[in-house]
Parts: sequence; C-alpha cells; structure tokens
Amino acid sequence: MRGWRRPAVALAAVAVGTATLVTGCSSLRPDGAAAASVAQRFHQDVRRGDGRAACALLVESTAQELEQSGDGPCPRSVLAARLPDAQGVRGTDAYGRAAMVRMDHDVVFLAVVGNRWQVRAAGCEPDGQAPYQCLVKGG
Amino acid sequence: MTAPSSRSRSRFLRDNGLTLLFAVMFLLTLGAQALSGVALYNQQAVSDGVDPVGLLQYVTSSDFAVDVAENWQSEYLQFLLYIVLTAWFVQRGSPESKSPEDIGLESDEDQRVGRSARPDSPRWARASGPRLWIYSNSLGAVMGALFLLSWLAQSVAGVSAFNEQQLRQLQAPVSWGEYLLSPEFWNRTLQNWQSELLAVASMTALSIYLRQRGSPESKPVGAAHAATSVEG
Repeated sequence: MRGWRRPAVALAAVAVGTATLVTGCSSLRPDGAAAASVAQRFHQDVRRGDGRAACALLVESTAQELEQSGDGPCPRSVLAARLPDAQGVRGTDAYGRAAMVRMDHDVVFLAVVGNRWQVRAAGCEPDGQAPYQCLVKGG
Repeated sequence: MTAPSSRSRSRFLRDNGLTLLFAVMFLLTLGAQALSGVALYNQQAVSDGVDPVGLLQYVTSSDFAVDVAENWQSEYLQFLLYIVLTAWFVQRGSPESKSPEDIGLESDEDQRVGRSARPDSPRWARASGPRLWIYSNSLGAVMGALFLLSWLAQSVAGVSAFNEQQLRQLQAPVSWGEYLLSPEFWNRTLQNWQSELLAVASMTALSIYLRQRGSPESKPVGAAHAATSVEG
C-alpha cells in the first residue's frame, strides 16, 4: 500500500481524473434544441393531417405498436390517436441519448436513432411516481 | 556489451517498475471495463427499444464516467482516511501502523523538519510557518482533493446517467440536488465505501499474523506477531 504514496502517481491521477470529469461533462450536453424541433415538427405534421410525415419521425418500435394496437397502418393510427394540439416548447431535458420535451399541451419523449432524434412517446401526462401515461408509445 | 542507453532504460524500468506495472494494469482493466460496459449498455438499450452505441460513444458517455468515478472516489477516500487516521490510531503488531508511543503528529526531530531538517530534506520541510504546515499535510490534502473531485464527477455523471434511464422509462428527470439525496447516489457511494473499509481493516489485522516474504507491506517472515511498525 505504501508504494502508492507517491506524488507522481497523485499527479497522474489528477490528470486522468480531470479527463474523466471532462468526458463525463461532454456527454451531458446532447442537442436538446434539435429534440425540441423534432417534437414540434411531429405535432405540426399531426395537426395538418400528414400521418406519413409524422410516422417518419417515430422510432420503429413506437410505429409498430401503433399499427398493432391502433386503427391499421401507422399514418392512419397516429392521426386517430387524438393527440393534444401542441405548438410551443416550454422546456427540454436531454441526457445522453434520451430527451423529454415539455410543450404547451403535451410532453414528448425522444431518443437518438442513428444521428437524429426520433419520437418514442407523445400525448403523455404525468402519473405520480409512475411512468408518464402516453397515448402513443413503443411496446 | 550493452549500450549505455539500453542500460539506462532498463534501470529506469526497474526503478519505476511498481508504478509502471500498476499503470499498465490500470489501463488494461479500464479498457476491459469499457468493453464489458458497452455490451451491458447495449443489452439494456435493445430491451428499451433504443439504438445500441459504439465503443467510442460509450466511453464518452455519463454511464461509463459514473461507473469509473464511483470507484475512484472510494479508493481516494480509503487512502485519505488511512493516511490521516494512522497518525492517531495504531494497531499493535501491524506493519501498516506505527508504534503506540508515537501516536500523534510526532516531534520536529522525528519528522526531520525545521531545525531538525537534514541536508537532503525537501526545501519546504526546512521552512517554517504556513509553508511547513502545507507541506506537512500535502499528501492528505491531495488525496482529499482527488476524493472530492472524483465524488463530484460521480455525482455529475451519475445524475446524467440516471436521468437518461428515467427518460427511457418515460419518467421525469431529477435535478442534481435531488440526485444527491437519492437512493441511487448513496447506494453507488456506500457499496464502494464499505468494501474499501473492509479491505483496510482486513489488511491491518491480517498483517499482524500473516507474512508475505519480500513484500514491504508485510513484516519479515520471522518477525514477532507483537512487532509493530516493522516492514519486510
């Protein structure tokens, strides 16, 4: 144990510790603005009745769940899901590869797929300590 | 005939072998942790319906950072406590402890400081006042700073990793302050602290009766069980 009590090791540890802090922090800043923009586009597409464009913004598992539990193909099911009409963004929380966008009448959850944000769940409302209850979400 | 540069290189390796060996083992283990970590992360990602990530993305993620930092902070805490507490607490018979009659900060003569400094003593050990005080506590201070820095890194990376998991499960994220009070933060912290404290207690107690020939962490094989502050 005493072999470790060396200033050189301590200095090296400072350097590596700082590096870890920096790398830790670097991943704390995913592009929340981009996530908010995708959430707004999704609601825009739904509002103007373009189910195909809205479905292109959904992660695959969410689109599949919509088709299995909704009214047929995703473009039709997403429009039939009675999502609230949301336009303005009130705030965004983004961590790693996941984000939550709080809009004026909705909460949208997103994930990074490839290099872009896609919608995992929309039409979400808080449910106490339990997960948000969402009208559209993956299986 | 061996070239002088080759001789000096092998002498450097011999003289610094302990640090170099542990540095290499550290890097290999960190690499292996990254490989197993990315596999685990991707297992969870697939079951959450999220894209898997590559190794580079993983090692720059908060998930990797929190797993690294939570172990670092506990190691530095262990050394901080050991360095500071062994000035005041002893274990008779342990080579890691000093003799009971030396409990405390000891005299200037014993510590070779001030007027009792020797020609080869560090410059700050020959000084007096604040400089001597700082140098007299520099090892504990640096270990303490490394502990706090690592613990801070754990909390910062930890809240990010925790919140990513929360969002994946369609739950609201928490603030840094809320995270500091969360069971997740304290469970990660305390499970590391208890293992470090157990290791120190075991080493201190077992080294009274057991020996490792040639190791300076052990007493000489033939040393008496009651002999304290004797290194092999």
